Amino acid sequence: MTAEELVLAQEESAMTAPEPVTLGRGRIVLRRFLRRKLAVAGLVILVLMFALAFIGPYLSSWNYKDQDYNNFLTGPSATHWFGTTQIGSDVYAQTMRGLQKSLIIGLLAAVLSTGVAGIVGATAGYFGGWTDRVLMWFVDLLLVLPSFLILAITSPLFHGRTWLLFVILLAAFNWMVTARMVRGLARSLREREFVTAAEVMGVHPLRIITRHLLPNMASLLIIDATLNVGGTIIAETSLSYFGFGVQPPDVSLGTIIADGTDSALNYPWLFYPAGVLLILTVMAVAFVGDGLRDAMDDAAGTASSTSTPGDAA
Amino acid sequence: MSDDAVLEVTDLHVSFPGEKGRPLAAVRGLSYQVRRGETLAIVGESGSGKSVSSMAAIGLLPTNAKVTGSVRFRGRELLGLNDKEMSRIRGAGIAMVFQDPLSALTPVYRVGEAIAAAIRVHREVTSDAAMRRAVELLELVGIPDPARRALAFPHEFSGGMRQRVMIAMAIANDPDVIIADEPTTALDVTVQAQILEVLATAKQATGAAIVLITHDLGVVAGFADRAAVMYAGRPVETAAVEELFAAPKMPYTAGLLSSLPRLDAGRGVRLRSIPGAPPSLAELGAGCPFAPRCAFAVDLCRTTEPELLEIGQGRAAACHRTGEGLDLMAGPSGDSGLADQDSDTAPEAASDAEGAPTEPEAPAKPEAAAVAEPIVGAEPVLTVRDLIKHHPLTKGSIIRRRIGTVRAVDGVSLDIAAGTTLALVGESGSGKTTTVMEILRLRTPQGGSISVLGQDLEALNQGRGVRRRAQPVRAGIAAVFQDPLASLDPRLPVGDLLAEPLRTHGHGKTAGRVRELLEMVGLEASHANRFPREFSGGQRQRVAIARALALEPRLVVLDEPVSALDVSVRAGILNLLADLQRELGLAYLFVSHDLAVVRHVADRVAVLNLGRIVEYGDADSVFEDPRHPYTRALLSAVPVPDPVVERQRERIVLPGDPPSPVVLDGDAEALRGCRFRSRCPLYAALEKPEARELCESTDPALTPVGDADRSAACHHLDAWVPALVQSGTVA
Ligand code: SF4
Ligand code: SF4
Repeated sequence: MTAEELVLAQEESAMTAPEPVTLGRGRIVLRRFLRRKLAVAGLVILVLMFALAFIGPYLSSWNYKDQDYNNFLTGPSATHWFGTTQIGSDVYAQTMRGLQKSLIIGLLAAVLSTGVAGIVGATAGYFGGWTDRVLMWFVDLLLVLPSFLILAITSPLFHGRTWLLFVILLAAFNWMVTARMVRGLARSLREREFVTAAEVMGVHPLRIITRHLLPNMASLLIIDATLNVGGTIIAETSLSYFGFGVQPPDVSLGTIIADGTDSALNYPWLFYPAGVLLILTVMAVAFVGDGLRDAMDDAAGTASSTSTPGDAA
Repeated sequence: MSDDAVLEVTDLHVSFPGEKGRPLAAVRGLSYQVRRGETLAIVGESGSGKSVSSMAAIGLLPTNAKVTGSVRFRGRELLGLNDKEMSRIRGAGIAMVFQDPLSALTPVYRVGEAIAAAIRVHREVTSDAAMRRAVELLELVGIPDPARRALAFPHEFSGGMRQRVMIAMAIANDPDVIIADEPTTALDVTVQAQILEVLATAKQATGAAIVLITHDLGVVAGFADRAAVMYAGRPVETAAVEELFAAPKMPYTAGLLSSLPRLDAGRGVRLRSIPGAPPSLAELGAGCPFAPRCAFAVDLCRTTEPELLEIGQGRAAACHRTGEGLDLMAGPSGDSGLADQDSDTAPEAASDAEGAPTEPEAPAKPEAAAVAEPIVGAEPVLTVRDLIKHHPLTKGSIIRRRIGTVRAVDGVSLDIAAGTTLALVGESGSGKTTTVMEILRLRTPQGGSISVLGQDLEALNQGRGVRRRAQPVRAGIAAVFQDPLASLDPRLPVGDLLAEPLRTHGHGKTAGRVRELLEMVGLEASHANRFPREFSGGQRQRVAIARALALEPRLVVLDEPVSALDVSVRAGILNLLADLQRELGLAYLFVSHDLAVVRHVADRVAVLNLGRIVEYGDADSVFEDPRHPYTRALLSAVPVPDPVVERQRERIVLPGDPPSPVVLDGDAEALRGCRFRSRCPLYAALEKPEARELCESTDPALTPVGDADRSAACHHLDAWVPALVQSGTVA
C-alpha cells in the first residue's frame, strides 16, 4: 500500500467509524476509481465528447446532408468552420454526425463483444466437459469461417435495417479470440480455493461465474474492451463496403477518415478533425479502462505487489 | 571467539528501494559468528529478515538491495566481492540448502550429473571421478540404490529425496558453512525427522558450521546449539538454546514459547496468545517494534528502540526491561495465562488504520461457557462409513490408457458427535484432504456412505431438485481452509465475502449479520469495506472463520486452519476456535498434519495412512499411549520445543517417504497384507517368521484396543516392546 493510500484508508475508516456502512464491491471500486485523476479526466473527456456529438450539430447552421454548391473543397472559414468536402458538404456538421455514430457504435460493440467473450469463455472453462466442447467448437467455427463470407451471404437480409443490428454484427465477429483466452483463465481459476469454497457453500454456478471468475479476470476483460473501442470504430468502415450500417449520405468517424486519408496532405481539414476526435476518444477510453483496472486491482492488491522483500523471509 | 569463527557477520544492514523513494529496511543490524561444527539457528516469522540476511551474506540478493556491514568468511570480507569471486566461495566454502529443492535443482540435469558438475566447478577431477564421488555422496545422504538413482532427474524424486540430493550437493565440496533455509518446512513430519538426521550426518562428515534458518522452535530445540531470534529485521535475543528455552529474556521470545501448542501438554489448555501480527517493514516507527504487541511495554518502549545488549556469557537481549527480573512467561498480571488475559490488550489505534492492525482476541464470555455446555455424545453430526474414493491413473496425452488406480480414500469410517472435535491426522497422500472434500461436496460417495446432519448423501442426491434439497444441509456444514489468501476471493471486500453465504441461502438483509460476525471473530465492523489483501494473515483467517459461521452451522470442517499462519498468531486463532466451539456448540472436523496442534484441540483423533484409518479413538488415550506403529512414529517425529526433553527423546525414524496411494494395474502384491509394511519399524523388528507372515498376507482390520473407546489396525498391537525400536536421536 502506498503512503497516499494509507492516508486514504485512514480517511475511509475515519469516515465510516461512527456509523459503519457496509459497502458493496461496486461502491468501493467506484470510490477508488474516482480517486484516480487520469481516469476521471478520461471519463470527463468522454462525457464532453458525447455532449459535443449531440449538442454540436445545433451550433452550426449546416446539416450533414446539406451541400453548399458554392464551396467545393474550401478550407476552414467563418461559414464552414472545418471547411467543405469535394461535394460541398460541411466538414464540421459531418464530423459531429460521425462522432455521434462512432461513439455509440464503438462503445456498444466493444462492451458487447467483451461481454459475450467473457460469458461464453468463462462458462466453457468453468463447466468443462460437453459444455466446453460445444462452445469451443462453435467459437472455432466462427474463427475459421471468414467473416466477409458470412456477411456476403447475410447481407441482403440485413440491408437497410437499423444500425443497431450493425453493432451486433461488429461484436459478433470480434469476440472469439478473447473467449478462448477467457476460457483458459477460467479453467485455471476454477481450481482456485476460493471457487471451491464458494461451491461447497452452495453458491449457484452462474453466480460463481459472474461474481468470482469474471471479476478475477477483470484486467484482461477491461484491456480487451478498451482495445475494442478503437478497433470497432475503424472496423466499421471496412464493413461499410458490404453495404452495412453507416451508408452515405450518413457518415461516421470511420468513413470520414477513410475518405479523407488520401487527401490528408493536400486538404488536411478533411481528415484532421475526425482523426483528432478519434484519437481523443480512444485515449479517454484507455484512461478510463486503466483507472477501472487499477481501482479493481489495488483493492485486491494485485497490481503492485504490496508485499515487501522482507515478507518473503 | 572471533578467531576461530568461520563465518562472522557484523552489523549487517539490508534495505530495498521502497515505494516513493523510502527505502525498506529488511535487516537492521545483525551480527553473529559461527564456528566449525556449531549450529546456529536464526529464528523468526515472516518479515523478520531471517532469510534476507543469509541471502545477503552469500551475495544472492537482487542488485537493487543495499547491503552494508561486514560478512567475513574465514577472515575474508565477502561484501563487495564481484560475482566471479563470490561464486567460487559459494558452493566450495559456503553451501546452501533451500526450502524448495525443486526450484534449486536444474530440471534437465540428472541429479548425479548436477552433483558431479558442482564438484568439477571447484576441483580438477575427471568426470568419472566426479560421478563416483556423486554416488558416494548420494549414499551418504541415504538415497537408496544411489548408483541407479544418480541417473534420475529431479522431478522423479519425492520432496524428501530431493532435499537429500540438495544436501549431497551442498556437502560435495566440503564446505565450511552450510546455510539451511527452512530445509524441512515443506516436508512431512516423518520426512522432516529424516532430513534433520541427514543434516546432522552431513555436519559430521564435513565438520561444517550450520546456519539454520527456521520458524519452527521445535526444530531449533532439537538441532541447534545457539539461536538468534529475529523480529522486524533485528535480532532481539541471542542465547544458547538451553538457556533460551529455559529462561527467555525478551518478551517476544517468551511470548512465542508460551504460545506454542505442545505435544506434551494436555488438551484444551488455553494458549497464551500474542495480540496483533508481525509488523510490516514499511510501517516501522520509532520505538521497540514489538511494543504494540508487548504486554510489558512502558512509555520508553514507544519512543526508543532498545539496543541488543550483552546480558551474560553469549547472551544478549534487546529490551528495556530485561534487567528488571520480570517473569516473562507468566504475563504481566502474574496469573499464569489461563484466564483470558490475551483479550485485554487494546488494539493500538495508531497501527490500526494501516491495514495490518493488531488482532484483538474475541471477547471470551465465561458465563456463556457455563450455559452452553456442549452436548457431548448427543446425536452425530457426521457419520462416515467405509468411504471409498478411487480414481484412475492414466498415462499418455493423446491416447489415454489406464495404468493404475489412485486409492486416495480406501475405507474410512468416522463419527463426530455434536459439539466435539475430531482430528484427522496424516501425512501427504494419506487421503485426509480427499476425505474432507468428499464430505464437503455432498455428492454420493463412490463407495460407502456419508451422512451429514442425519441426511444420507446417497438419498439426498436421488430424485429431483437435488440442489434445492441440499441447501439446508450445506447451511449446516461449513469449511475453513488452510490459506485464507487462497480461499477468500481477492476481488471481494470482506463485507461481500461474509454476505455471500447469507445471500446464497436467501437471507435478504445482511449488513447486521455481517457486523455481528466480524465482532464475533474479533474484528471491527469497519473492516467490512476492506479487501482480504489489506489484512494480516491471522485476520484473514478470522474473516474465513466468520464466513464459515455465517449460517450458524453445526459442523465446521477446518482444513489445516493454522498451518499457513505465523507462529505468533496461531495461538490467537486456536483460542478463538475454542471459544466459538464453547459458545456455539460447534462440532469440528479438524484436519492437520501438526500433531502438537491436534493434541491441543482434539477430543478424538483418527490417524490416516494410505487412505485408511490406522488408529482411532479418544485423543488423550491415543496421545498418551499410541498403539499403532505408525502413530508411535508420527508422535516421536514431532519436535518438542524444549531442548532438554527433545534431546533425550527416543525417536523412531521411519524409513522412506510416505508411500503413494497409487496401485498399478495388475500389481496384486501391493494389495496383499498390511500396506504400512514397507515403513513399519515393528514389522522390520519382528523375529518370528509366522508373525511376519501375518503382516505379509493379511490386511489388518481396525480392532478395538483395551477398554477405552478406541481401535487400531495392526496384527501385533501387543508385540510392541521399546527394545524393538531402532532409536536414534537427532542432534
Ligand atoms: S522494549 Fe518494551 S516493548 Fe520492547 S520488548 Fe521490551 S518491554 Fe516489550
Ligand atoms: S500389521 Fe504388521 S506391518 Fe502392519 S503395522 Fe502391524 S506390525 Fe506393522
